[in-house]
Amino acid sequence: MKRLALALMAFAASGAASAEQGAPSADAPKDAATPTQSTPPAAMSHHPAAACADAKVDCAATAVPAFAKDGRLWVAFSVGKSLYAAASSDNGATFSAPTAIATIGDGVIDAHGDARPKIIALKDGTLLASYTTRPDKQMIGTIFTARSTDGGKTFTAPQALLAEGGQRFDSIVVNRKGRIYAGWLDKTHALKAKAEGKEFLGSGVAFAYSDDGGKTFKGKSILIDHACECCRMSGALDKDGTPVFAWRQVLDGNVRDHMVAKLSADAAQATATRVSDDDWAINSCPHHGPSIAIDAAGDWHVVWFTKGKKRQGLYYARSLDEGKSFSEPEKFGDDARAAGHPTLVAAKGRLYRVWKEFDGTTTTIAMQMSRDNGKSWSATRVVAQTLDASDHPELIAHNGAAYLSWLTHKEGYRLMPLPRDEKSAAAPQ
Amino acid sequence: MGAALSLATRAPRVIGNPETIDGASFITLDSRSGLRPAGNDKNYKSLVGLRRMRLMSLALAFALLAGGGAFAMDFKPYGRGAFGQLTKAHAGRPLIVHFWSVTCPPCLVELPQWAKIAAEKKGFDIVFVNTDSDEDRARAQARLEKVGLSGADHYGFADDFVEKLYFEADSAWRGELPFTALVAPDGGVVTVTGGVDDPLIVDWLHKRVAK
Repeated sequence: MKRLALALMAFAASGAASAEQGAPSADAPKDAATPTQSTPPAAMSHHPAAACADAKVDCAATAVPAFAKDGRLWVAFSVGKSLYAAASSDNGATFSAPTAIATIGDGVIDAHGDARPKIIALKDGTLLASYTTRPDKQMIGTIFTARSTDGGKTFTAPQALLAEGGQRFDSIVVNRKGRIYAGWLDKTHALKAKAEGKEFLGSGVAFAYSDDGGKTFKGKSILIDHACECCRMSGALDKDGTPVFAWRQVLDGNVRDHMVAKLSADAAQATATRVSDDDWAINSCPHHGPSIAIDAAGDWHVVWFTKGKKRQGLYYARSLDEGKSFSEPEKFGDDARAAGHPTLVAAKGRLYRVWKEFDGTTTTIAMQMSRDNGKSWSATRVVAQTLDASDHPELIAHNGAAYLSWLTHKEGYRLMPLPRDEKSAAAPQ
Repeated sequence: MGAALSLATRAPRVIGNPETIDGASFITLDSRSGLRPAGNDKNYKSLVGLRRMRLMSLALAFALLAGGGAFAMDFKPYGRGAFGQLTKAHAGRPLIVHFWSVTCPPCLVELPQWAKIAAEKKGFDIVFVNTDSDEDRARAQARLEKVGLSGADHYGFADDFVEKLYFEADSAWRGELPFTALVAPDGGVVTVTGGVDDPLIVDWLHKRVAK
């Protein structure tokens, strides 16, 4: 992935090799080559590529999956200054040669923790990738999208969703009619306030939609202000085909609790309600966004992390009335093992939640399933573990089955089917 | 301060012995000459095996030099075991370890206050740890320079196994920032999630100043 130490080792290896050949002038490390070679060696040394700088998912820090209509699994990931998509016909065991979507000149591709390049597969076979770049000098982002209509062989030149302001943490949801909804956190109002010398907490929550497969997005507007600007948004499709988004809000008194909003079909209106009164009054960046899933019955399910006055740890709540009210938050995960980064998915009458735990040595992905719309959950089961660095867990549903998608440094990319019944879900670890 | 903390990495299969790498980060400029074969080729090659790690060290230094201005500031690598080594190195003196990131607006807003604390401190040590990855280090440097903190004691996360780095400072820390560890002379640690105005930090500083 991307650490100075590894980068230096890459240089060291090539430097030592050069010395053996009596050629001290260091060549650029061969394994750091970018697909377009557009980054000059000087710039690379300012931002050293990782030793594992191959264009493959195992060298990335984050991987986001999507199943295409043809059954292939696509993942979007970045290595160094390049963004890629790669397909797998065997559920992630092997990947075809990746397609380079973009290589950026300066700045960085946001691919760390809650920030991650994404890919979605549309019904007509179109692939839509999204990613955020941050320039070298400023702490604002630009969200780009790129499309492929030839099965991922090529992607269009990336287009900025917005050319000014500052945007991060996009979340994209597609309804059955093919309308694409995008939600993101937008700094435009914050930058304006700053220019006017006014105080402004957090980012705006902005939305847009596309009816042409992501070629153009309409109705871009900031509908809600003061979202916590360093936590991801999460989106899910409601029963009626409109999207619902969840995010961490900065409420009065710097309280950073969670909100949800259902978007109108034209993305012009959003009514936000609070998921839970955790009372986490903190002037900090949790870097820890929520996750929302909506089941076939139209029940909303949200999981999140808090360190509030009223509760601390991971929590789950559901709403049976489209977010008007939420159930009493229910705690899950082991605080003694720093439970974090929970996510949810609904798949054919089942609901799954997974999260990360760490005991000082081993990182585990713990899982629970529910077959009664979240009223009760199976015993916790560890479904994967690793002894080194790892990405946040991702969940994906395909053909009625749920999968854990997890990129770890030691094991590489893994897609793991989750159990379909309570019995196997509750099986001893 | 010459010694780096353990440059543990997320790829032990590549790095090998962290101690060796440790030294490598601080090879001086004139060591570059070591990259050139000194004698004839045959002799040189016979030395390669013995001096392999040293050569790699020299190459590391070379890479750092090639990095030029981006790493003009010394962010010492903060890897696995770093927190324990820091508290050990500062044993007997009160220590503040302040973690921050350029992706954390509240961290950036209060950096000038930390600069003031660092400038006025008496009787305690303060260490800053930038939790960004290497891509953001130039940006971090610019921020520190802007608030006059470039002369302070700085470390930078040098390991993607962030859960481990968090855990070593506080087993309940999930990475929220700003995050500050207040370390007593006997090694006892109190941690604070949130701003420099947190009562725990204010009291801690007040007590140190009062002494």
